[in-house]
Amino acid sequence: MVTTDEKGPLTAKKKSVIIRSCDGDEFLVSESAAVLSTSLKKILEEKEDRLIHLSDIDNKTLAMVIAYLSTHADDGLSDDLKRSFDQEFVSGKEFDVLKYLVLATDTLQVTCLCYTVAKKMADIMKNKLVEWVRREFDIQNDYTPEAEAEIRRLDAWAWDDRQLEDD
Amino acid sequence: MDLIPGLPFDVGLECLVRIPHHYFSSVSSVCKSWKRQIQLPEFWRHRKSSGLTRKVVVLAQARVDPTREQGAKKYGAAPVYRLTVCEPETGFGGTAPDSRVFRRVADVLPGGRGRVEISGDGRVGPGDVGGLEWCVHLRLYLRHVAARGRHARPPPPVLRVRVRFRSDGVRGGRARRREVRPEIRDVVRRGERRVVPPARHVGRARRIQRGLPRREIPRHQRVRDERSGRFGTSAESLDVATRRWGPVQEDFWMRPRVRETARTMGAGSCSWRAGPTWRSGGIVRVASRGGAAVGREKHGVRDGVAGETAGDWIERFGAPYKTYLLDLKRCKWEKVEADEEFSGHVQSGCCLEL
Repeated sequence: MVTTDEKGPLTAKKKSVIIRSCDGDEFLVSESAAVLSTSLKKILEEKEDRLIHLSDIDNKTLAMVIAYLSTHADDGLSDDLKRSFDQEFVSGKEFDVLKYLVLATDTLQVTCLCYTVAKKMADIMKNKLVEWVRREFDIQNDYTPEAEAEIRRLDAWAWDDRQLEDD
Repeated sequence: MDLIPGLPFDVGLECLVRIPHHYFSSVSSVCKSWKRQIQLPEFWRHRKSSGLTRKVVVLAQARVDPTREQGAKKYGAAPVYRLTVCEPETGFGGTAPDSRVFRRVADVLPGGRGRVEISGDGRVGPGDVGGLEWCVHLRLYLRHVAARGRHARPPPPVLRVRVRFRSDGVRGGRARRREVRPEIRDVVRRGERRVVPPARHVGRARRIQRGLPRREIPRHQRVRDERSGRFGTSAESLDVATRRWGPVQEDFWMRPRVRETARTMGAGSCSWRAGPTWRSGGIVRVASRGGAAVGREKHGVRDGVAGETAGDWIERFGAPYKTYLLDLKRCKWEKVEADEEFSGHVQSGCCLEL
């Protein structure tokens, strides 16, 4: 299966690259979009081959990353539009989806997307209860109950008007 | 060890770095490695270099006792301070509960005298300017700086701000130097007192006026003199960022009937949005740009007394101060209605980047 990116049919002038996910599906990406990823750029510089196989990124994640890259490679869009696209892009996504996304950006070295996703994850966890963060992020609580109580007592004073959520 | 299970360390760090600083108390309660990470200087350096830090103003302010009695009670009580935190850009802030301030001040101020200095977690004093040294930790403490004596700690490095004053025709105009911490710049607070000062402070005023150490003024000369220690209305300012002096502004201190004490605070090179942004009633003003001038004006000893710093000087402990804003662009003072609980004098303050 060959999927064109969101920009529609590619013109003959533009070079394109085919990226294959670990599920075996192939994505057609313009070269200007692909070079936004540092690692893809390196690969393209090294070899002539226009087919890149990514063994650790699945279909769904790769499609998202490519949508992001294509939008950011589009010179016709203003920075404001790109910024609002970034917000739309990460909004409403589950933590697991974001996790795979951020792993993929780490592999592909797309710094700006990595920062966008990291910001989203920080936003998710910032006003949540400690228990919520531990549960969702699967983090082991290695504090003794006394130590934990002491920490929270000491630090909570300065910003007492926030609302912590647990949902 | 990974900060977030399943994610590389760097990615987890990028997430943690992007959390606003006021959630760090709950974040550091999650697990030990997160807490350790947040306490590392590298973490704060990373935050700063990524442009994620916010400026936070911290003040130690005298607590006003609503049941106070009128009269001079300066020596009667040990000062008690509250810690107030404010983020000028958003107006977000909070106040430490009294119990905590009591405990802390009692810890560090055994005699209840001396100056309270705010610093960030013992690493960086408010006197350090520039570079990454400004990255400090969220936890603050109050430090006792011995007022005098050979055991006094050496003061943090300071720049000097010149304040020009004249002695009402008795002597010619004369430039004086006054030390001020360079980063203490942008937020200006001013207090006004109306109580007639005890005579001993006149000597102190004279000493300051003459630039002499106190012991060099004979005791019999430390008397009240209607002309002594009168400050003029001109001032010069030092832009800390460029270390250049501004022009002499002749009528900088515009209100001739009021003794003025200005204390400026802020970070070395910050320029904040103008407007009163203090959440709980406007005790500070955030100046827009440019260097602040520091000085005081004195109109006869009956109206006021000069102290070495604006803060360590309590005339009527527990009494509220009137609050003024200084507009640095127009060089005009403007009176602000502050809540009484926020009208205690500001003993110390600093600006942190968190």
